[in-house]
Amino acid sequence: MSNPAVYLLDEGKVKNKTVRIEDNLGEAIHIHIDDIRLSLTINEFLDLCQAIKAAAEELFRLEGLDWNMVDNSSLDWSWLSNYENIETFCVKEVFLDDLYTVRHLTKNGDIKKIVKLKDSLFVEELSSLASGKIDHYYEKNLFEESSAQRLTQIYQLIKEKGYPYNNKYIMVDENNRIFDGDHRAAVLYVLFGGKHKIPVLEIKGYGNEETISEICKNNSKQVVRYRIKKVLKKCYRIAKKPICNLCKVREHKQQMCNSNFVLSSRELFDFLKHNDISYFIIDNPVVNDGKTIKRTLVVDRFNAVVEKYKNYSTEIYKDYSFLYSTPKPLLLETTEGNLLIWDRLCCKSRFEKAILPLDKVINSYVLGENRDEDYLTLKRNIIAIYIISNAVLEKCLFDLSDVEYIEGNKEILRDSIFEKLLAMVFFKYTNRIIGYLQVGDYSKCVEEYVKFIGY
Amino acid sequence: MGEKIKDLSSFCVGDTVVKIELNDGYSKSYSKYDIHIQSDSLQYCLSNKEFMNLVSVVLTAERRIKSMKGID
Repeated sequence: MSNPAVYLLDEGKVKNKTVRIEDNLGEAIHIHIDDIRLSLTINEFLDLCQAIKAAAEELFRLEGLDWNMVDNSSLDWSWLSNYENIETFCVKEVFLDDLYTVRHLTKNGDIKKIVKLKDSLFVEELSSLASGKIDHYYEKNLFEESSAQRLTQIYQLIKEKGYPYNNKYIMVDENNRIFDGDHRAAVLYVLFGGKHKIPVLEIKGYGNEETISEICKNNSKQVVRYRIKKVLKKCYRIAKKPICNLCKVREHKQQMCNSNFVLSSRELFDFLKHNDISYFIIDNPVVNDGKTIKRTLVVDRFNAVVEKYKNYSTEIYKDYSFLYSTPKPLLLETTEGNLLIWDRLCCKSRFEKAILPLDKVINSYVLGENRDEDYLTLKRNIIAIYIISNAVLEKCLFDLSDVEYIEGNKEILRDSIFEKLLAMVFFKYTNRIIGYLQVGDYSKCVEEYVKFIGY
Repeated sequence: MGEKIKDLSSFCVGDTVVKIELNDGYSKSYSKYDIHIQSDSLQYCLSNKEFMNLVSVVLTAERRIKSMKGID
């Protein structure tokens, strides 16, 4: 079963095949090249990075280029594959007004408009015209860093340390189009104005024979085509709206009638009993997707329960993907609070809006396939695993009821079956979790998860 | 296959040494150099341009993991 904490470090195309590098927290770094996967420890991956950089440096040297002139901490290397066309790097002075950059018109950045620096989104955000559009701007950022935060940090850095900082220049081509350093350029523009001159690193001979006006002209055609398509789509949606709204109103009215109905818990459990449906209860309240769940239930004939109660279910995990064919759960309001019903125990993926089941082995203990004699201990183990998974992966904190449960069942932390099962969620971080929980350091348990490098 | 020029660098995966090797391009009209990333049993062959596409992904990944883990 997949690790619920997979952070995509980067992906790209090599030989027309997708290359993905992922951090599977606690487990390994995975490098996927098409259907092949390479599994590395963090240290092995960092060694690989050093080796790759050394090789790239030598390839640069063979072309008479100096690798150290490039900002190695950049997050944008889209120009690198054409390195052979580069004649030389040279530092030159340029007015900020003469620089060009791009604005993404689509969320994934596939349609871009070439604009003067003064019209860039970053300049807009830093000036009094801040529109908040940066919150939806597509660009590669560092972990848990938004585009707005990134821009603010660079602004502070330049104010404190000036430009160029650490001898790293904004990189442009011969048309003064920025290849790397849009944020820095925007900050400098806002601080000093368009008439200010700055040193930049020019990539000479990059191979673009078009002038900037030709590039802008071709780009405008692409942008116009995109905008026409957008307008047509909007017209289609408007035309379609009345019919869809009518259906939605009917469905919504029906749901409102049903979801206002508060189900009796007794009735639900009677239904399960009379229909011979096995279930596993977790009575500890958890918060999922912002909703407080008094009880979580896993049932073995989920379809029968859905058939009976689907019209009374409230929506939860809207816009989430459900992985490994996991069906959406039912969320029922009962006389004893919200009840969440699954067909298997699940958790939220740590880094994306997705739900995936806990490992098959954990789930095999839930509904009795693999129960041993000490069922009570096993049950408490499973509940503890569910609570810990929720706390670390979804909520990023242990709340009062989580702490109460663990403090009240601390002997579980010494149980070998618990450790074995927890390792299926947290891999090599498992011992750390157990250690932190044993001493009651709940916040460290959550905070250190992402920073852990012992795998 | 183009002739080997030299080893550029190497790294280890477990006990396996993986070399990054510089070779003459198999077809000069296609690429000036070929890069082989290889161990004793496996080889990943790229043109120098394709290798730079890989470099691009690796460098961004390195930057992000170092930031995430608080490694300098």
